Amino acid sequence: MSMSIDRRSLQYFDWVFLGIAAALVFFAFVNLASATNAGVEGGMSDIVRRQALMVGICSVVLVIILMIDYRHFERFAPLLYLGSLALLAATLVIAPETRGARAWLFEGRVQPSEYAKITLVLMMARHFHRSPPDPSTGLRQLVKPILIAAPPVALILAQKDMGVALLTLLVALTFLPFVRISARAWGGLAAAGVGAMTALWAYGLRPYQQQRILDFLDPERDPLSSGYQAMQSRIAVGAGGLFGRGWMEGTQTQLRFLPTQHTDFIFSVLAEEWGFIGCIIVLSLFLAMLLWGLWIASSSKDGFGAMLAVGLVGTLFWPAVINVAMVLGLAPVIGVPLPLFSYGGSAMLAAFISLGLLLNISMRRYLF
Amino acid sequence: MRSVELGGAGRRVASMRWVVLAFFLVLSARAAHLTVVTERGELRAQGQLESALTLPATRGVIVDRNGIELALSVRAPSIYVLPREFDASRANVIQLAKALGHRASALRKRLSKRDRFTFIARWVGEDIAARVEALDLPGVGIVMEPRRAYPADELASSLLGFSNIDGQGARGIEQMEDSWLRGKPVRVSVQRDAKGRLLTDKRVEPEMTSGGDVALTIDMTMQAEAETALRAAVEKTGAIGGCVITLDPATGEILALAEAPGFNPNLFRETPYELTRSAAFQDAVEPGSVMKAFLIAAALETGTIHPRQRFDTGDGTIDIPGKKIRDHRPYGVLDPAGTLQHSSNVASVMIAQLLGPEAHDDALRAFGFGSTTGSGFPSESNGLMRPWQDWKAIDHATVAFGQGIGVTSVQLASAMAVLAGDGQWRTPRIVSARRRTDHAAKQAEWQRVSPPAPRRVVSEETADRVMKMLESVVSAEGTGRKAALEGLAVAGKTGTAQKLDRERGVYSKTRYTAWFMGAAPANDPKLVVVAMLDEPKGLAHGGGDVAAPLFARVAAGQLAHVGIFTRPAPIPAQPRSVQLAAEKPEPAKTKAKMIEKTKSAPAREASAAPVQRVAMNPPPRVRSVDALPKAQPATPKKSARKVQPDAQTKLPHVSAGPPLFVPDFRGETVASVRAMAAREKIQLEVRGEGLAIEQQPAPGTIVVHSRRNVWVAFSSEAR
Repeated sequence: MSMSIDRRSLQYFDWVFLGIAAALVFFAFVNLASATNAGVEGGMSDIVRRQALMVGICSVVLVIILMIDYRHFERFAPLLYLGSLALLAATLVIAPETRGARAWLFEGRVQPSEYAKITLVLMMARHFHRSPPDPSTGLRQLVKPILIAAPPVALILAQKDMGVALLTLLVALTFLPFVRISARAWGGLAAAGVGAMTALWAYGLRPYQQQRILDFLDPERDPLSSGYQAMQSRIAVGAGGLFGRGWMEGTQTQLRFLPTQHTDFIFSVLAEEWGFIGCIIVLSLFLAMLLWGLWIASSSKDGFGAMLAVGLVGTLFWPAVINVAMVLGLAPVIGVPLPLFSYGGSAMLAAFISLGLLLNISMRRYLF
Repeated sequence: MRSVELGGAGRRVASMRWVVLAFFLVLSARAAHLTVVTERGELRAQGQLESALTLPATRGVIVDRNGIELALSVRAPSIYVLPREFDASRANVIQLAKALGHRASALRKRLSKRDRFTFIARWVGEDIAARVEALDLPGVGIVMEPRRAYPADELASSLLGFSNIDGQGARGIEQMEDSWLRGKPVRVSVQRDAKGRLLTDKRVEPEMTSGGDVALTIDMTMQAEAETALRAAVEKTGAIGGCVITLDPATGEILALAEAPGFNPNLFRETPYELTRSAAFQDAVEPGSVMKAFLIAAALETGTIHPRQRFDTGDGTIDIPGKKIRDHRPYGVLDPAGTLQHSSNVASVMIAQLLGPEAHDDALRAFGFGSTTGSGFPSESNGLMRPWQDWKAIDHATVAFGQGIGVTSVQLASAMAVLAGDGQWRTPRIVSARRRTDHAAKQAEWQRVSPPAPRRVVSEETADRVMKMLESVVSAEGTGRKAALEGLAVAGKTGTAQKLDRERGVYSKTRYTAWFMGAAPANDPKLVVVAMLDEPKGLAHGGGDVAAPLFARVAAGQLAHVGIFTRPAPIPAQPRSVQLAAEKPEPAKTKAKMIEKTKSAPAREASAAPVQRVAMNPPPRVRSVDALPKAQPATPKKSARKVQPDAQTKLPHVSAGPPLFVPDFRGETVASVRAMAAREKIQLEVRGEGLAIEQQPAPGTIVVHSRRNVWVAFSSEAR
């Protein structure tokens, strides 16, 4: 277990992937500065300053992760997994309720659900690596993965954080296309999925959450209720046009029609101020990052590395797609941040850990 | 370990690239659709800015001529609810209602009706705001809204008007100067507002958008005096309302404008809108006999009558087709001054007929009647003046004494100022100066509002002459004697108008408008005061009885502001001029009263009936009395008798025929005098020979009754 990076790893260091990630972080920072500019006189807002500090801390964490051979994470996966479950459980007991959900620890500084996604991926990758599913075994082969995925999803549901629970579930499901499972197993999953959805709608969702989904289906049904954000977001995006209104010039942004514009709706700020061109650049960067991540998975010489890379791509892919779809009015408003872009320390750190692990897998692809 | 499944995974990873790509293509397509294809977004973004909550800017202050604040803006908390964020549970609503002091059921009803940003209580006290804040209910917020405060409450209320809950001037000066006072409204997005503190936002600095200030011509002390006096008079006489206007005749500035009943502009929300009007500007009221002053001024100015011309009113009646115009009692022969002093209707009608309807109409319009004064006051009335072409004989006759015409108190005050001043009409002014809000310098300079150029109505000489005549009104014999002030002469005119009974379309016999318009000191008027009482109760309801004392009280108090110290003169115990009455036989007092009571009803009937223009119509307009005899159609009905003018009372009462305008025979030979007299069907009594040197009645006298006798003395020595 070497705690250092040998020369060959450095030689194969994935500068392209790092470059893409750095470009995204840069865009994200500039955009956040504009989103939080409203009402700030001179200099940066507190939010921007804190985000800058966070990027610095995250970079340090990233370097530390790079130094640890990713295969060590396979050994420690159960420990990390249980640790994150413990943190999730702790939020239920001691965390204060924020916006209807108990999801933050230590006075809102730590959001364990963000880390739980990564430990879940580690655990799943370890499982699929050690006991790859055999298509002949039918539904039984899914029992163990379901048992791994269920506790964190259940705990996050218990926090009443629907969006993140759904996201975690999706991340877990990311593995499915990459392992061979029987048609019967797919059928069973589909049935279970429909059943779960129905049960969730009827018993699991609060009226306001049902409202949100109805509003998604018809956002102008009630422009000032929960459809408000979705509609404002679409208006802001539409206001951007082809080239945008210019940095810090978006009226929808600067007049704060969107209350959560610097977190979940950060993409609308981008769209309004940088227009369609800005959207395409950022989406292309995300796409490049994710495709590169998949390339890392396929180029890994090791089953755990490949599975881990797939799962990590999932942790970036799902929030990015869902968030942008939400901003563009293609998905209901569920509180999912845009990786690297949205303001929030835990999400930022989790994204950096994913990036670090992917870089880790990539640089060690020739080691054996 | 990595052998079998990895190969498969590799293929799967490759195919998943297409899935990821597909997702991103969908997102890009959607982004393209929203940003580029539909332009709706941009338009809606614009629309949203427009529809954001508009907060009125801080309104400018209104001060009087000495800088005393009459209206200013403060900030008062208003409480709003965002129904979507507010959990309208029973407990919450009851809690909120209790904090507001409202009924819970009413609040729930209000909340159920609205689903957008909605105010539930505006301009509440700080205590209520604190209670609501303490509740800390989500979806309930407090915003500091500008509120108008009127420190003087009722004082000058009808003049000031008020600005409504949305910061718009709704009446009076507030409405008139709205665009100046208002400033630019502040637009704030609802969402920003949803977070509460929108007024602390840097963008919404209230001073940045505040409106300019306005200074009035009103003197608050004089205003207060006028209001006190008016209220006392209203209470004493049982009137339903009244008005006092003080005006500076030299400048047209309104120094005080008191109205009763007023209202408290601070409580405008509890006050019916109708009560907030300014009757002085907005109501056309029949002026009654005060109009005689302008008639005589016009007749003098045109040379239609001579200041010493005499009018024989005979038995105190004059026949107009369909109606007999009567004086209160017969006054005998009156000169213009006497006409005003006794307020003779008959003599006024004679003068009006001499003047002719067109010239009369011209003159009244020149005095400012029939159109707004141009003061700029909102909804100012034109008054009611029918075009002279539509006047029938009776209409013209009644206009002479102020019936069938409507004027506003402000029109009357500025018309009086023409006589009290130099014969020029000046726009009555309320706003003296304006001040812009200057952000750089704390206090900007007042910019005086320049008055419009005055307009000549009558010569200064005519104005002075009429003022002299109006002084006699306030003499011991005049109808306005109760307007007298100690130690200085007052010029003025009384007026008592019967109010029109709208339901029956006739003049009321019990409801009157009492007027007095005056100026003091008469020789060099500093102030013009118009006093009006609406429906004074009791026997003493005339302008001379109730409005004149009100004038005296107001004028005495206000003259002190121009350095003249006086007080109302003690009212003589027995007012009537006994000699005059004793000279002439008159119907018993009770009978006279009865006649007067019924005098107006037929007037309405007469003017309603189709009456063609008859010989009774006024004579053609003439410039000089000397020309009159030739122009006058002579239609005597009865043989004239030689009689001395002062002997007329011995004759039986007869109805007045067509009026006779006594020609000027002076300087003519006996032959030509006879010829002229024959044309006019005048019965001559000739004394001496040669050229005519003296005559009785005097040239220009109008003789209304059937006795068309003229005594002429001739002398051969003349030349």
